[in-house]
Amino acid sequence: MPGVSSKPDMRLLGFLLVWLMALPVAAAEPEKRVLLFVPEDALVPSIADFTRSFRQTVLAEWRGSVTVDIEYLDKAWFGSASYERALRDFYLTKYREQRPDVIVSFVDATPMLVYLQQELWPQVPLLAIFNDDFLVATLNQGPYLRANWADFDITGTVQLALRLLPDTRRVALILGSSQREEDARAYLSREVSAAAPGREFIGLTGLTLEQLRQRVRSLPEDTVVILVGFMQDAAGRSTISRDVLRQLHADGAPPIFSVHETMLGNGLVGGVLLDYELLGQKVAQRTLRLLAGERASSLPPGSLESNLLAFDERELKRWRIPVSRLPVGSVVRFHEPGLWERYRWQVTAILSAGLLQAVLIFVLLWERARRRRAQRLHVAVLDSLPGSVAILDKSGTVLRANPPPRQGEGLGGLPAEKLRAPGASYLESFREAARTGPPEMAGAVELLQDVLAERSHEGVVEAPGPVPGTWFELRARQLELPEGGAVVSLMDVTPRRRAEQEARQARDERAHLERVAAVGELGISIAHELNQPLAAILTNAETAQELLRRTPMDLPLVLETLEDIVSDDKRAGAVIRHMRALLKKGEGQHGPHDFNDLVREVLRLVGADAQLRGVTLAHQLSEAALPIHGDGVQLQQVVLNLCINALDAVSHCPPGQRRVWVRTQRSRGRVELVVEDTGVGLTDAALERLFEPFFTTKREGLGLGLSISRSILEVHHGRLQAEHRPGGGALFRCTLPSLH
Amino acid sequence: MSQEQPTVFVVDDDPSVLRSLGRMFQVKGYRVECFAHPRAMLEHAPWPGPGCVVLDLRMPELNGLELQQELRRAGWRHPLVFISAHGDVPTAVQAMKQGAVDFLPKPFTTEELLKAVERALARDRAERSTREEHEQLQSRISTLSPRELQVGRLAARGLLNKQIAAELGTAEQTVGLQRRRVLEKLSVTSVAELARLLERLDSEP
Repeated sequence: MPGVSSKPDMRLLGFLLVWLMALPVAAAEPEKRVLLFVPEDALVPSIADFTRSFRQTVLAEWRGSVTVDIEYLDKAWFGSASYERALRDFYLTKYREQRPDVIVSFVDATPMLVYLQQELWPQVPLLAIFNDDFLVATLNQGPYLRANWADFDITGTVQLALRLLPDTRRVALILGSSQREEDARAYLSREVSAAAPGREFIGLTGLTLEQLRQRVRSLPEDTVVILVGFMQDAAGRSTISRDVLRQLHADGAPPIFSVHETMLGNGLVGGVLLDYELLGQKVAQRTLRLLAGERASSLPPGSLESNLLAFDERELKRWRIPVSRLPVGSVVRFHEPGLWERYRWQVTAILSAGLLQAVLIFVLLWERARRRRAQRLHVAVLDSLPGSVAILDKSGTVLRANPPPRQGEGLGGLPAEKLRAPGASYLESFREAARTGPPEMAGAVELLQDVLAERSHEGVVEAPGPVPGTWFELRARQLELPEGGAVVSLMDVTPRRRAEQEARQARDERAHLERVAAVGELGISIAHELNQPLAAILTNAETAQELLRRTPMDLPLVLETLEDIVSDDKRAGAVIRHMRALLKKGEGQHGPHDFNDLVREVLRLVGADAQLRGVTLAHQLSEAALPIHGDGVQLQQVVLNLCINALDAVSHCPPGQRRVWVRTQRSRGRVELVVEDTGVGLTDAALERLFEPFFTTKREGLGLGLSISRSILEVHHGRLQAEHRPGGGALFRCTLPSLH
Repeated sequence: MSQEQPTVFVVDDDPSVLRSLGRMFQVKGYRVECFAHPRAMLEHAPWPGPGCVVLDLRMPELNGLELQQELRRAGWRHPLVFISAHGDVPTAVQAMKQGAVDFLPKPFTTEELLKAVERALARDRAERSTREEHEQLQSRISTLSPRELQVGRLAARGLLNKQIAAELGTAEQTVGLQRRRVLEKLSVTSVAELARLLERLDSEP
């Protein structure tokens, strides 16, 4: 027993030894050799695809060095029994001294390879690839043989063809006449007709190429052709199935389906196609496993699944097969680029050019419409203008004019109809009107001439019309056109003139009212002002009487007394005169004045009033004269108003704090009057509304004073502002343009 | 009694009024002093002699009423005549209350003014003589000893010597002696006369 038990140990030891000795050998591994036998010539497309893909995959993925030898048996074209015997002897001789690491046989090369393996390399693994599973079953697969298959799915292809072309009534099978094809004929015919039940089966076998072409040409339209292979015709001529397919396609064959991927693109609609490249890769993967030392029996048995659902889009289109009818997972090749894809740039350029042109045309049309619209607008605007508007050419002739005015709208006796008649000379009509009308019309003629001669760009003249009491306004503006000309408009401004006149009168009347009110307010202080000289006069007169009664008479004293009477009387007279001037209605005299004089006179008037009210009225007038131009009385009214306002403002202050300052000065080339008071001041709201008519903070007051003061100053190009006085109270600042 | 010529002080800020008044008073034979400004008058030391003040009610800085008070404070005793360019009743009433003699609205006649001035001078004279009499009285009283004044006052109330002695806690004889001395010193003959004299003394300021 111990001996028995020690036997495996010894074997294991020996194996280890061999393995250890093999290690350095493995380190410098000798070149591997793969021997591939294929049944046909390298010209056959499927063989070419398969061998190329096999070889590339093995070379690329084996880490050591490896050679792939390929033997092309050329069985289809030279398929006699004697040729096969000779080949067998040839290879026995050729490889007697050689030992490949893996042998691979493809389809019909397998029987020969099984023989060679038995004869030459019983220990070298053989990988055999078949087309059908039942062929695999005939082989006795030992540890050194693995047989797999890659199916031609004839049934699937026929069913697919019928599904895509449901109206098909006939199915034709094309098969060549090589030995292998002859062998498969009965089986394939059965399979095809079984896959197309109810359809007529047409066997196109055992024909010469010419016969085949003839037959195919005459096939009815509702036929589907299944081309399995055509390696040799009945006359023994070698062919390549793909070339045959091309010819048949060129002849105008019905839709052709097949099982070889290699035929796609040569007129084939498609089918369940064997992809030889994929098959080559799969076989190579297995070969690599064998090269790595795996036993052939450990490789998985069964199918290699290298079929592909593929179609030629051109053919699908040709036979009007919608892509939607294809089964899921279909591959569509030979996509024909559309016009757009092929001529994208040219098409884009042409379309762009067209678009550009269209846009251009549209813009031009739009522009034209816009211009027309603008023109209509202009005409509408011109026609709707009040008064008389006319466009004149350079010579003053009417080119266009708006329609005659509505009834009741006159032009103060100007020849309106003549002035707007196209072709009439506007300038001449005006000259004529000026000859008979008031002298101011000459100004209008002058303006027209100036604008037409481009001496002036634009101008307005307002003049009395030929009918007394009417006024018109002539407005002329150069047309900015190379040919010159002008737009003239003539308006009757009599109502405006009248309104202005009335407004002026109203303003003067208001000013007068305000003056009367102001003088009324001053009544007490004016009485004081008059009483002083009157009192002095009375006293002096009585003194004089007394002196005259005396003897001796003190004549110099009498004279002196009388002189005083005279001067006091003058003084009283001045007060009266001034008051009368203030009370006088209507426009005053415009002229040059020293503003200081005007202020001084007012201060004298209000001085007494200030005293009466217990107000300290301080003044500081500029030493230099302040020459201005304007209506003295009106300006004094402004000063008076400001002073009285200031006096009123401080009236509520405790005695001793009632202070008003009046100051005149020159400020930035203007004459300035500042009136300040220590009164309660102005609220912001009051400051805002201060100059509005009838706004007043006083209990009795018209509220017109400041508004009139401001309008008086506006006439004099002056300004009146109210501010908060720093330290409390209000500050009024009035400025006037200086005469120099 | 002094026969000094009275002086009229005129204050008016209006120069022509001031001039005319000054001249008029001069012509009428008054001594006159004119001031164009109330301050100028206040700078003048109080005039001890007879006279009166004619002043304008409305003047800058210091009006007539204020001047009136300032003058009193400075020691002026002279009556005042207000003249004004306008009739302002409340002011006039106040002026009169403060002791003004008259209030004349401008324009006034010389006669009106002179009458007012004469009234003022008359009052001045009266006041001056009262003041002088009072001063004499005061000086006579001042010769009495305090006890004598006490006895005199009690006697003037009509008390008998016995009653006075009881009141003061002295002898009746002493009182009789003191009483006689009082009558002598004040040169009065009866108690009734003494009572009148003391009454006058007490009533005057």
